[in-house]
Amino acid sequence: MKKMIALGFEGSANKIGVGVVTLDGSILSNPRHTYVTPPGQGFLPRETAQHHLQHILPLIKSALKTAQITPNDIDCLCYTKGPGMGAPLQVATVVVRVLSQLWKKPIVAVNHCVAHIEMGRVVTGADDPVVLYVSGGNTQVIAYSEGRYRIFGETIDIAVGNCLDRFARVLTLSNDPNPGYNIEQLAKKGEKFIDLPYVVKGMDVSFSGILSYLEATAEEKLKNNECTPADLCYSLQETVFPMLVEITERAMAHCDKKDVLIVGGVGCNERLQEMMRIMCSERGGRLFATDDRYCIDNGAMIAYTGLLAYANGMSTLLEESTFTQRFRTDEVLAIWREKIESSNGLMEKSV
Amino acid sequence: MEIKADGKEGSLILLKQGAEARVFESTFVGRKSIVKERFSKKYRHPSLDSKLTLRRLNAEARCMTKARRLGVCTPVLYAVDPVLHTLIFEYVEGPSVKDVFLEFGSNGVVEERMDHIAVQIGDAIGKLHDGGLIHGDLTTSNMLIRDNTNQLVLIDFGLSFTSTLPEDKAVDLYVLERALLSMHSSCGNVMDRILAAYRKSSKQWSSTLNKLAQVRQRGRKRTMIG
Amino acid sequence: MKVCDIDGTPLSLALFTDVTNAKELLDLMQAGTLEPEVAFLNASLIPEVFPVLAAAHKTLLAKSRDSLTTRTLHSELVYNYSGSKHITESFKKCGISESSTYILVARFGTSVDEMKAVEKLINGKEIDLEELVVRANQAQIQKHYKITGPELGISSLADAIVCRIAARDAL
Repeated sequence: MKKMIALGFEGSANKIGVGVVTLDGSILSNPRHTYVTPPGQGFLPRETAQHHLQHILPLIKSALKTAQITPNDIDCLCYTKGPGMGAPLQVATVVVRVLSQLWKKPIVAVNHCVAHIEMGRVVTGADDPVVLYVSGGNTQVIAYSEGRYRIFGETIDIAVGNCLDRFARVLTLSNDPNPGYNIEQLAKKGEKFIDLPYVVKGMDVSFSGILSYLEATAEEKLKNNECTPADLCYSLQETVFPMLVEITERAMAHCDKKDVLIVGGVGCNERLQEMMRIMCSERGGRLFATDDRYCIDNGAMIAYTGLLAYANGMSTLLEESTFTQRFRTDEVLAIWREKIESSNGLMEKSV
Repeated sequence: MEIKADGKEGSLILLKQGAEARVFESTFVGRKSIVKERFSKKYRHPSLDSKLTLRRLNAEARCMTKARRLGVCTPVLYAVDPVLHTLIFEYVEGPSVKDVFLEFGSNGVVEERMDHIAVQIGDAIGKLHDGGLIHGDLTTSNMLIRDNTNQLVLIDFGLSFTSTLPEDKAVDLYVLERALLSMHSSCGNVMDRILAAYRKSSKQWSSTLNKLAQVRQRGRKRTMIG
Repeated sequence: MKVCDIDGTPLSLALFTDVTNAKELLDLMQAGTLEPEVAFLNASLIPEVFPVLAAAHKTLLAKSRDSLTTRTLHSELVYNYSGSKHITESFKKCGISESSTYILVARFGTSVDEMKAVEKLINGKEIDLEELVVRANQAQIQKHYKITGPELGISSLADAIVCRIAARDAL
């Protein structure tokens, strides 16, 4: 019997990606293109959407070619409904609507955060972990309970990736390949630990105080030779990552789960992974993390998650195929997890 | 001459390995007690780690006793050891509110008991906040119901601090609201009952609850770019 | 007299009323010639034995770390019982004065001979420790330890004192 195949589109932030996957999680192709801004600058919605428009059609062609399929082989078209920036989200949404008409294929709207989780689960084999989702726009500690991915902890102000990105701008680090990566590399040369605000509130964290402290003092400290840019990067990582590990551990203790899965762009950071691994091993659990192929936004994760929903009878009508900047992880009914949990092996049967 | 020696004195029985402390059962000069030992976190920079461990040990000792001064029940603090990072306090017999609510979730809510607990929670937080004390980690795991009397006992003051800012009070309530949503959504709207009691208990309820509405909005409005 | 066990170290306690030679005891203590060394506590501030045991526990811990704040083990017990950081004030309020008549005597160690010697020093009537609860001066206790109405709604006097003894150095 033919395997179910989905084509997925991701464009919620500064990356545009198209992926082809099958229901067992095999990735047949997953090309993407990143909008890189000059040092000291963030990406703005209009320019980012322009970038996505320029690249989406060549990416579709390349994705189909690499996967060696034609539009006829596709079972459904999946796209990121949100959360994200409006204008960039619109690009993939419009393209999917058009292709759906052109190719006569059903649409499946996907929550970006849930897609990160499902991709992480299938790539690593983590069954029921506590998920730390960390990216430029998100910082959440999530665990599955009663049909939904529930948010146990999150940032009460800015996301950790946003904090890192904006600090990179303070130091005018390069945005290529991404600011977080350059902070990580520079941090390896840091030696001096500088005290920064450490803010944990229950299972929630706050980063805005750290960022404004750095924005206010970094220049002065560097000018007075109190520390080097590397020391600042090192101290920032050594402060914000333990906060993330701490709230993850609190959630583990609270929901009685042993394993951790890290997803999202910041999840590629090896120092964060190292800290999390130490914590997990102290608790007798395991850390599951992915590398930048899956951590960073991509089309395959959208395709895979959409396909899970589709295989369980869910799809989105054309008139309902909208996008939204705000779309909370716990709004999605993770129907596929309920079915898998009640009868193992249903995934294969439903093909 | 009467010798009052307890053979078990000083022996430790591990009850729970939490996120940042091991909790033991022991005896303190003849009374059944809890020993809570904060351990160092190897993933943290040593200087940050020792700073946090000591800060939280002291915060917990200070704030759990301050809460009692405000008329909010917490375990009686028996001893503090800053070298071994341990607190010794009263052993409270009874389940956590988390266990009670989970039981409600699976076997149905006992309305009268639920109401009694929710009212006590709202009342206790109101007293803390009016006294300028923020608990900092209000989850149902950190609340116990004493056997026999059904009295609410708050524990785990490691993240507590003093503040009179509506913002801090609102975030305190927001943390609790989210903990209830994520863990006890099948218990119905417990938070509304808690807030009703909070309103009666706290003189400054109005500014706090206005702020709470803003804090909630912040959570929902965040665009959360991937 | 009663001997209590503080994590393996015995603490002997004896309660006296109608004491007539407090001045003499005070002089001996201040001269450092009190033999054997003991702690004299203002028993009016002691509603039951437990807070004294908590203070003794704190004292022994400091001793084991070589970190006594006051000169001797027994003066440290009085200092710790006060729950205050002010040493002179602690001795004044929780120790004895020339006019004291109601005194709790405490000594680390269990030697019967030693305690006999202590009893001989004191001109007064030894009574049962159970008497503490009825003879305690609640108003004085509330004033010294700053215990308010809301706290007494959820706590005994003794527990309120223990909390202050334990939390004093948590800064």
